[in-house]
Amino acid sequence: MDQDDLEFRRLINQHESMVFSIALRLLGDHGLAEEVAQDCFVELHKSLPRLESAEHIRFWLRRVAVHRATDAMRRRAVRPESHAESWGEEHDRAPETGRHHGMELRVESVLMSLPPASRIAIVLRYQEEMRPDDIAVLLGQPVATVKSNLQRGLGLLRRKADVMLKEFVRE
Amino acid sequence: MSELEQELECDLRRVAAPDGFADAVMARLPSRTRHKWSARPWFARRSIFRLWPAFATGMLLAALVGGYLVHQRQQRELAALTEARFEVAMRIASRTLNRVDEEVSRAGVKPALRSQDSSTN
Repeated sequence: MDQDDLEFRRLINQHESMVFSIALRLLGDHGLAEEVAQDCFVELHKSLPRLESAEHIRFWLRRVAVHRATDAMRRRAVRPESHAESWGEEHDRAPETGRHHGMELRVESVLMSLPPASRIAIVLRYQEEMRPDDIAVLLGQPVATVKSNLQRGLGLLRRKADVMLKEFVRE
Repeated sequence: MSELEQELECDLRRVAAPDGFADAVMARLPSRTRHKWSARPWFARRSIFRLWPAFATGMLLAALVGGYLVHQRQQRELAALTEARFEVAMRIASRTLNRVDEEVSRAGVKPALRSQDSSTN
């Protein structure tokens, strides 16, 4: 393995968690998310000469991950509601770095029932901790649209998860 | 930030990619087209072999534009030279005509007769 391969592998190790998590939370399917994440890195390899900095690579990967996951949702006609139940089991089998408890899984399951636009906005806002204006740049949407999708998603989440969030706060 | 938002930030943390993810990606990369990744800027990363078609096209365009400009300049010079020659020729013709006219006048031939003579001959 030459130096370029090692450097590219370092890039994969640096960003794989981000790309895989975006794909997984948008698709709710472990295998499909892995496939989409791999596609993103293969595409990154082709596009590397055009990318000028580490920040540019991160921005590019996030955008491509969202677009590829959206394409996969359309292509395979993923119905969020149908995957909400199976998501928890698949997620249980996947290696995790963070904490893992029932509440977390249920929040993510409820997340899967949101409309795609709201889900994308919420994943980028709360998983990637991006500001609405950065999300707007990434998605090529007006900031008002992003804020609206966030508010709509939060409203739906609040309604759907109200009971279990209260239980979680009490614990 | 609301309670729900705090919980979301907490729950929606990144998860690790599956084991062997990097190996799977590396195995999918086409070895022949692997790019050289380095910290150099994009223009410095391109090899001369990739740039030669652009260089050749540039040279061809430069030659075509240069040839056209040289041709235009030659045409302008030729036009100026022809104009100058024409003026000289006209001046010579004018002087010659004047001189002939004076000689004819000196010989005493009237212009009307001269024209009649020329038509009968």
